[in-house]
Amino acid sequence: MIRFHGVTKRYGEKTAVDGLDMTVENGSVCVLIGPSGCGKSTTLRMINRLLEPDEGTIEVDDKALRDYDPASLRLRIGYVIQSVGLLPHMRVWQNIALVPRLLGWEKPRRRERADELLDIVGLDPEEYRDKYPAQLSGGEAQRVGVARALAADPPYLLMDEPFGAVDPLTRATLQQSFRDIQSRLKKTVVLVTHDLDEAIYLADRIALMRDGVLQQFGSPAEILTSPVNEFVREFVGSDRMLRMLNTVELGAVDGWSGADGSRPTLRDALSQLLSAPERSIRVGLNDGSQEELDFDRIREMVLP
Amino acid sequence: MIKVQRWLAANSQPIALLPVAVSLVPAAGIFFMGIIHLRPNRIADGEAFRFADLALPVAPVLALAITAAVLVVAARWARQAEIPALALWAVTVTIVPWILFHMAAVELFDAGRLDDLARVSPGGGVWVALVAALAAWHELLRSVRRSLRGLVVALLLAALAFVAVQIASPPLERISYIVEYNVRSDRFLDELLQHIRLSGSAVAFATLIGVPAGMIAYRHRRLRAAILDVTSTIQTIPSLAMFGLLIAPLAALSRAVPTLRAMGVSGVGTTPALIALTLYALLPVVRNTLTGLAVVPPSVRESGQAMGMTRRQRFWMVEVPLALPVLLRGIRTAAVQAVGNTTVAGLIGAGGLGWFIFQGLGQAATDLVVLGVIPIVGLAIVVDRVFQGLQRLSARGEVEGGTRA
Ligand SMILES: Nc1ncnc2c1ncn2[C@@H]1O[C@H](COP(=O)(O)OP(=O)(O)OP(=O)(O)O)[C@@H](O)[C@H]1O
Ligand SMILES: [Mg+2]
Repeated sequence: MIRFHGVTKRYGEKTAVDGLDMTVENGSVCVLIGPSGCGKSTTLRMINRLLEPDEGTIEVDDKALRDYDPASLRLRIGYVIQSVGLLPHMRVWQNIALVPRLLGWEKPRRRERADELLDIVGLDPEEYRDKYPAQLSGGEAQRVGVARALAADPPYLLMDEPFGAVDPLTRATLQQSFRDIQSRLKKTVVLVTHDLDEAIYLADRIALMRDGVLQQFGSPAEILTSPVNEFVREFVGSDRMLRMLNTVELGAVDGWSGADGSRPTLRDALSQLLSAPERSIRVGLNDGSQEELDFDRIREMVLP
Repeated sequence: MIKVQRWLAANSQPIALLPVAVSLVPAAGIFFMGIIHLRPNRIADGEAFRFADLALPVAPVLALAITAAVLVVAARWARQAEIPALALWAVTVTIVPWILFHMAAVELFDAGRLDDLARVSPGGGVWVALVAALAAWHELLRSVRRSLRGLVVALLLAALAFVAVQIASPPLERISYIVEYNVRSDRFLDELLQHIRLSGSAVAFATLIGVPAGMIAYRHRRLRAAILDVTSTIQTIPSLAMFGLLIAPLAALSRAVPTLRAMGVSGVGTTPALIALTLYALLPVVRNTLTGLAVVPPSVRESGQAMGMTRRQRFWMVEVPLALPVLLRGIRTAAVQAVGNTTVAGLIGAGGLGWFIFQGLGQAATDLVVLGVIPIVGLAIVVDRVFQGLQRLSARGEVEGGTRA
């Protein structure tokens, strides 16, 4: 559990984060979103003490951050950034096994762990373990970045625009793999993004910020259906109900086929329905049951 | 045959025209410039003999040279078998001048002009051909892949061994440099070792002092300018002036402190030489330590921190390995410079190969000067190559597959 109590961070005159109160539950994904410069990265970097707050306290596991030794705190908090920051002089496996090495694991165990993680993030260990970061594409490097953050099985994960620097298709695949990994590993994640759809797709809770001030903190559905002020309403956009469709995941949709391992959402179902000759189509739900879907049913499903 | 050709083609790239031309043109010098230089004694003016002055076998040499040259041009033009043709050319232009030099010496000997006092040395044509050979080998090495490079180097060594045999066989023991060497062979080895010792210790000291100084300059912005200013000002002091400046204080120190005198510290000799050389070697080491640390990307540094590295771990696991190639480049510069600078140490009684140069200058004996210069140049090249290799090794990750933003 990560708790913010009245956390404020200033850079000179500028207040980057202003009186932040927020709690991230164990095993949940909290997505920080907001316009550029609103203080997302600053918030994230205070959690692993790359930055110290000027006011307020942050607690991790009910213990104030200032009572932790920074280096050993960071060993328990995986960190992924957009520029990836792999160490250029180390091979992929050495990069991934970095935290285990700092924790004093034996070399054979580190190698084994690196291979496991390459598998988890969908890279073939045979092919990738001995490469240097300069030999990876942007998307591969980001996967390795995620693998490195997960290597020592830390309970916490901080991700700053982890899927930012790749094309939309790769990003969709990365998001999908992240969701799969998260559903298995149940980390406590704080993730920063610019992309509202990504936030809706990945988040249990969304924290929407503006000029350092938290505007609304709630589930994707809450943010979309009941914006608390004009700023939030504008931010989620007039097509916010269409975005809602993405929050509902289905098991299968007749006539739909997506990328390997990906699952359709209500949005895909609506698209199929619009092009179907009948007034309804068959979809499979997540629990395995089947259902006839028409426009009224879709409305019911997005407005719980 | 075709298989071999294909393999060669797959492991090389087209040869470049300019170096080939650079190698073809001066080779012609062998026919127009002197082949052998004869002096009746050590310091007398000599006489150069050209191809036309001697009864050398013009026709076969000309035929061989022209064939090899035509083959290179044709191969390059047809883009076929370029590597074998260039290799043939390189070998030819390397060994033929020395064969001719040897033949010329035999002829002079037979004519009774090579008495006990007389000295011979290669004429201008042989030296110009050497330039041609360098260009040819360089181009050959450049245009083959790493897999073939060993083969080319083996060929080069074979050619050099052949040349060495030519030089060593009678009557060429009369080559002036070798005579000079034979007279002082013990001294030569001593001074060579002293040269290596002096420059090697200077670089070692400069590294021991310069790396921490560079690290301090990196950590403390305020000291940075001061440290750089001091080290670069030192470099602007002419070496003779530096030795001069050190003599008086060191002499005084040695008089005042008997222990130091007992350790061999004095105004002349090894101590001032070592101090001066170390001071000169500081700048490249300090500057490259600083640059090396400064070019470690902040994102990489922070990523190490965010992974949970302590300051010390970050320094040893991130900053040092990433700064190492740049640091090694600095030590390389320092070492090559030190090999050259150590020459001047000969002037203040510290020995080294400079001793031969200054002796030779004093006696107007050019051969003696050359005897000092050649190993200095050789030493500088060897040092440069060794550090280049180390640098490559240390930069593995960045070099392989190129760098990516
Ligand atoms: N080191 C710094 N010194 C001064 N000001 C800073 C510093 N870092 C950030 N800021 C300012 O603090 C504010 C918040 O920065 P932060 O990086 O947290 O924004 P962000 O929400 O992550 O933005 P983006 O989406 O563009 O990454 C910005 O106005 C920025 O200009
Ligand atoms: Mg940011």
